[in-house]
Amino acid sequence: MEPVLEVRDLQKYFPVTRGIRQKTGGMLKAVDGISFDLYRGETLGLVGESGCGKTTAGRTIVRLYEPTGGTVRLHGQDIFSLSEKEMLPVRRQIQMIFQDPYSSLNPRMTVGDTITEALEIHGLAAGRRNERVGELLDMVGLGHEMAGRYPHEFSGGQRQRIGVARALAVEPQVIICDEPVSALDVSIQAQVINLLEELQEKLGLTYLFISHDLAVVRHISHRVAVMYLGKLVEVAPSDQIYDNPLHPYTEALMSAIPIPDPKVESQRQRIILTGDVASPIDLPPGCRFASRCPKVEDRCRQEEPAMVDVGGGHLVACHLVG
Amino acid sequence: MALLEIRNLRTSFFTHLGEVKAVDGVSFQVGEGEAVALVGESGCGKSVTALSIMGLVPPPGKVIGGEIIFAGEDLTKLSGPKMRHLRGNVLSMISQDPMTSLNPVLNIETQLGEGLRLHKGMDAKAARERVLELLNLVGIPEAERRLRQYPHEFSGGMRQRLMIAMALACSPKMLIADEPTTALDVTIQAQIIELLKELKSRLSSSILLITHDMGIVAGLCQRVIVMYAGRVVETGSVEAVFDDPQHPYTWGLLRSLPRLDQRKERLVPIPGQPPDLLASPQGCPFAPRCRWAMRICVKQMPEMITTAKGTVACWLQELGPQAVKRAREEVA
Ligand SMILES: Nc1ncnc2c1ncn2[C@@H]1O[C@H](COP(=O)(O)OP(=O)(O)O)[C@@H](O)[C@H]1O
Ligand SMILES: Nc1ncnc2c1ncn2[C@@H]1O[C@H](COP(=O)(O)OP(=O)(O)O)[C@@H](O)[C@H]1O
Ligand code: SF4
Ligand SMILES: [Mg+2]
Ligand SMILES: [Mg+2]
Repeated sequence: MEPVLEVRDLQKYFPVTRGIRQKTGGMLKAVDGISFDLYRGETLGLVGESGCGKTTAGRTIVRLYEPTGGTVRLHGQDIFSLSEKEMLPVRRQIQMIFQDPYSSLNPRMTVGDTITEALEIHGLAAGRRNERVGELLDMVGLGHEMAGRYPHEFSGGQRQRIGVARALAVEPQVIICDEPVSALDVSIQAQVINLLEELQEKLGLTYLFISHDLAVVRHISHRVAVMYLGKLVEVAPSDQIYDNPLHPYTEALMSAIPIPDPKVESQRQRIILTGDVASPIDLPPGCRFASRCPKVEDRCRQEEPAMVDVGGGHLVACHLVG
Repeated sequence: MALLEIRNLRTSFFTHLGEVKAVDGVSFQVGEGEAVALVGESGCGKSVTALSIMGLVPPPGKVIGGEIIFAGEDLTKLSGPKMRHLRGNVLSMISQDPMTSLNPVLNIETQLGEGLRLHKGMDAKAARERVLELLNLVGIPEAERRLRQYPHEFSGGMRQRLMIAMALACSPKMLIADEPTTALDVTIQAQIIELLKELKSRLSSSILLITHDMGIVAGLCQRVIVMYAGRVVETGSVEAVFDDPQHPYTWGLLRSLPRLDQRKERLVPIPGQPPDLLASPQGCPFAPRCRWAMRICVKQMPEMITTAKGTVACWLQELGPQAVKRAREEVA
């Protein structure tokens, strides 16, 4: 099967400005060479702790940030080589939803106008835009009668539904969801997760689901990619990642997640990480996790481990595996 | 007798829109050396409950009723200076954002030592010794060197440790921790939780842990208090609340959670939104979202009743334990 989206060696560096004279002090390597494929109808979870580069990766893929290096192909077409005008149809095919829908919604526009605007930009549903807005609002469970309301009249969970409706308006194939449920309470979070799952089944959508919450990611994703300091350290089908994590960072991350069951919790062994996280401005020569890795060996500090395929679609970048 | 006993606490905010009943008749206890969790959705009154205990409710908020009996004394009747003394000494609070509790212009030695000199009458040398001890206790490496540093020179996890060290400076009888790990990454959270566990066993302080993370509750606490819309809806031992929850809201909370160790086909969310605390309902506050709501539920507030394993405020209890169990198992 051909992937919908192919990401190869994606890089995004930010120049570091230091001091009052704004002298540049090197590069912050937020995303430093990540590769993965997204297949139609699947959800790939992208997890990792804050600052590891998840948001930057998502935004660079859709060229909200200009890439430093690498390629992204949508149905085989290299989208980084396109002009801004040529990008328009691509933007229709890849949409993004954000953690804080409020900041991405115009407070002075009604929900209906916000969605209509998206339709206009892409010349969609001409002549029946109001009807289409109603359909979309019904589809995300808000109800068409909400079209005349303003963002501040909605709760967090409802605003996220507005964000989803706006993304769906242009009939995308891929949606990059950046922490879409992280700000929501669990009971509301479950509503939005179910909505995303139902829409995927109904419309054949493909998701890149970015989150720091591994329990959510396990639930919603078919495959999971674990990111650490700008690089992927492990990619595997979601059950594999939980039942058989191979990278020491993935293992520590799994063991750190509390499980809402006192019997399970009382039996668990936690791997407590010590040591400081390396700086993305001043990366160490070897494995980026070496400073905190409980299994670190000498070569880890010298040589960067390459991603190896251990079979069954399970990829790991660690000297001790492979 | 319990170390802390709260009876019918009511705290309201008097805003231009009207009275917001943030805490509306809350009662619970925390025993000596016990770790109790206070859980519920955001806005249900957890922090305001904590601030009421600490005597730190900001205006336009006010404790308007009830008793807060701590070590035999009603804190709602204590004078300002007495309350301040208590806060520095036997009752401490750590919050989600350490920077609100840490003074950015004081170095660590001054910051942590101040209370010791003030409350415990220590001299500079003794205070310094104790600060070093505290930094070691909470696992801050190179304590000597760190004494001269300022809060901004510490990472998020280290600041949280600093705040815990500060809260523990005078060996409080009770530590109120309001979402102490919510802003932290999970690997750092795991360190802080280990630390709290160790402190509980080593210092035998009581802990009131406010969190929305049922996983943390399961791993750290003995008892759980579930709040909804300014009220306590259920209390019980951790085992009882997780294995045999009695209140439909608690069922909903547990069912809507994705779990790392299980593959669930679909989550079961709670429909609707939490209510507006400006308009306090006549009946059960959960009724608009409850699929078992009966006619009486919207008319009359259910009383808190004591069951075999805890307490619960729900009309379903009138139908007997078998009916409650059947109702709970109705949603697969
Ligand atoms: N616009 C930006 N300018 C400079 N640095 C940035 C910018 N956005 C993100 N960064 C840095 O890039 C790194 C990755 O950030 P981000 O992608 O937001 O991580 P995550 O989403 O995983 O939390 C961090 O070190 C962050 O400080
Ligand atoms: N300063 C304030 N002014 C008005 N209302 C407030 C204020 N602080 C809190 N509240 C109200 O009190 C309720 C409970 O808040 P809080 O205890 O902070 O909730 P949580 O359970 O999330 O900690 C909220 O619904 C909020 O509307
Ligand atoms: S009292 Fe009625 S509405 Fe409230 S939780 Fe019980 S059954 Fe549901
Ligand atoms: Mg992010
Ligand atoms: Mg709070």
